[in-house]
Parts: sequence; C-alpha cells; structure tokens
Amino acid sequence: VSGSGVVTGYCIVSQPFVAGFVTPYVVVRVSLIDALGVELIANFTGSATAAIAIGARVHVVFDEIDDNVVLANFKLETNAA
Amino acid sequence: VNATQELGGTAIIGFGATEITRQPDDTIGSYAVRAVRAALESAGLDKDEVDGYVGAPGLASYATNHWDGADEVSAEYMVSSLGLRPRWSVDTSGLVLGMVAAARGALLTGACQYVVGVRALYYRSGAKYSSVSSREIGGSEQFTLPYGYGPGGARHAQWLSRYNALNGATREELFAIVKAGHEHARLNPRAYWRNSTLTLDEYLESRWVVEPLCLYDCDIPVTGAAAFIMTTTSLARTRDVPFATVTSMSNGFHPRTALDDAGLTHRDIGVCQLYDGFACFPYFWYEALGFCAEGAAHRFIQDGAIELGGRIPTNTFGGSLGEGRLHGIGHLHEAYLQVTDQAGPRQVVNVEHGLVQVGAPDRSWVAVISRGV
Repeated sequence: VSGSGVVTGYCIVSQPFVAGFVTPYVVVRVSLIDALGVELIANFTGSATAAIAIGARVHVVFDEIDDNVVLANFKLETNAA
Repeated sequence: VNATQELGGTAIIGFGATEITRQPDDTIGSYAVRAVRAALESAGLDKDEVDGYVGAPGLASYATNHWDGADEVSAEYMVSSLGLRPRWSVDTSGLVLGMVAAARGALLTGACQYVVGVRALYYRSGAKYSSVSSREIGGSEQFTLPYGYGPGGARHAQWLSRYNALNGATREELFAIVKAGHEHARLNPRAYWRNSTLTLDEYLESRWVVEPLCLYDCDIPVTGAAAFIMTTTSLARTRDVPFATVTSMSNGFHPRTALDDAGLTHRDIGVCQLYDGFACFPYFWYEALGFCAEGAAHRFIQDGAIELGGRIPTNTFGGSLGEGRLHGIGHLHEAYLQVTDQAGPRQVVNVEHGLVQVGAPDRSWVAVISRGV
C-alpha cells in the first residue's frame, strides 16, 4: 500500500486515560486509499490539533518510540490534490 | 403474536433500587442486597419463592480492583448473601437487557419460575474509573491502545466527529439530549443530578473529555444498585401487583425486529429509554428505529421533542447522564415504572408500550416493555 489515507473519524483526548500520553492528543481513524475497507487507528502528528478534519488526506509516518516499538502514525499529506 | 407470546410471555412484577451516591459508605454487596429486598417487597414475593438468579458483575470499572462483594457482585456472592437456593443462575456479560434475555429464556423453558436480576455498580469519588497504565497489551487492543485510543469514549467521540461532519450537526443540538437528562433528573429524587440547573452556556464552556465529547456528554460514575423480579406472564396474573410484560426483544443489530415482533411501529411507543453512556448514542437509535430519517436525529430532538410533553419523551428518569451510570438498569426500571403507571411526577399519560435500548450502538439490545394485563 502507498501509505496514503483519508480521515474518517477523529477525537482529541483531553483527559489522561492512558498512562504516558501527554494531553491533548489526536487519535484518527484512517481509511487507506488503496486498501478498500482497511481502517487504522493512529495518532495525528506534525500539525496543530485544530488542523484535523473528516475527509483530510493523510500519509503514514513511522515513529520510533524505543528500540522495540515503532508506531504507524499519520500526518497531513502536503502534496494532496 | 410472536413466538415468545405464544409460549406465554414473561413479565417484570417488581423492581427495587438503592440510593445513588459518589460517596458510598458501604460495600457494593450491601447495596445489591438492599436492592433485591426492595424488589421482593415491590413484587410481594418471599425470597424462598425465588428460584432463579441473573446478574452481570462485569464492567464495574477498568481501573479499580475487582473484589467480589466489595466493588462487584457475582451470582455466588448474591445467592449466599441472600440465602437463595436457585434452580437456575447465570452471570451475563454486562448489558441489563442481556440479563432480561437470559431470564426470559429460562422462564419460557421452565427452568425456573421467579428470577431475580441484579445490577450493581461501585464508584468512589476521586477514584480513577477509566484509565489504563499497562505496558503490555494483546488482542485487538494492541492496534489501538498504543495510540492512546481505548477507554473514556474515544470510539464514540470518533463516531460523533464523523456524524457531525456528515450531517452538519452541532454541539448546541447535542445539548438537547443532555438538557432532557438533567431536566428529567430534577423529577427523580434518586438521580445524581436531581438539583441540576445546567445551562447551555455552562455546557458549552465545560472541559473536553474526548473532543467532541465534553464533560456533560459523559454519564457520571456512581455507586448504586437495582434489582428486578421476572416471572411468566401467566404467573404474573396470579399476583396482586402491577406488572410489565417483556413483549419483544432483539439484538441491536436488528433494532426494528423488536418492534416488528411486537406488531408495533415507533408510533406506538409512548416513551423511550435509550442508553446514554455518551450523549450522542440516542442519535443512532432515533434513526435506526425509524423515529426520523438517517442523519436527521440532531434536528429531530430539538424544541423539547424528547422531553416530557414532547413527541417522544426519552430517558424520563434522567438517563445515565442525569441519574448516574448504572449501565442500563435505570433505563429498564423507568420503562417498568412508566408502563405500570408508577412514575409519579414524571409519568407519561397513557403509556401502553415503552421502548428500552441498552448498550453502545455496536453492542446492544432493544426491548419493548408493555403494560401488563
């Protein structure tokens, strides 16, 4: 897959429900453009939280959390048509 | 006449409930036992007549300990504490209408004659209710929890973000559900928010929990317990108490099946109790049950339509938003009170059929509860 997707849902978590997270943070639901029916939960990175919107085009970024953990997150696609 | 009516049907002949608090002075076991005693008294039933038990001990909280009798109650705990000798007992997975479905099956197959059902939740003010701090996770949560997605309504906030964007719905519109909950709570002496004076401005200025859900969009965790007594409709007719029939039930994946099986449409429903763990949940059901078109619920609920005196009074006891989070037994309790004409100052006139829905939109039960005759 290309790593591009469309935001189909989002939330901005303001209460520290999960230890280790700095609030507020955005959790997106991303529908991959070239894998019909596949949706991923991920964090939205690289922009202010207010930049998130339903329908926004995003692209994957791989964030290394530590030596053993890499998370697939999404940022706004800069060259989206 | 649907299949269960042919078998004779089942009925709720009594209900009992404790006070609701965020400063409990006793164990949850004590609350649960008191709820059962109140239910027995309401049904005019001796505990030795009870030969069935159904409970749902789970989901008390994600964060606290789980000690039987202290913050949750198992079937074994309740049977032993009450001195019951049931022929049939089961603990179900958490939805109150799932308890009713289990009891209904047991009664209609003759496994027992009088079932007591108990739901009890424990919360102490200041305790973390919904947080996680695990460093290891498996199953499907391994794909969500590392992104801080999980407890606290994130799933439902995402659903609402999409609903709002697709339908042009606003927070001011969602407030209608919260407002109805708080207004109705003022008519329910047991409700946590019985003295609420919540205004739209206070609502809009309240802090985000998981945007687009704010503080008042989330039901409030409380301690409290309630219990019901179920039997067959034919036995219910032999007892000198008002009763409600469990006319039909369906899983939330087939929301209108409960109406169809009862031979009813949404127009026959006089009062709705829709699960409101988060304020946006009822949107889904007004649309799924046919009260309004898809995507139109946010407009349908305006101008007092879901308040007492409106087109379809909803959560007339305050709901989980106004009464407190008892995971749906408050909704069932209110449906029973309304169709048996025992709802006092919040009684809807001439209610023959009430609808109850319990659970999040994607894991749910729907039931029609009717005046017993």
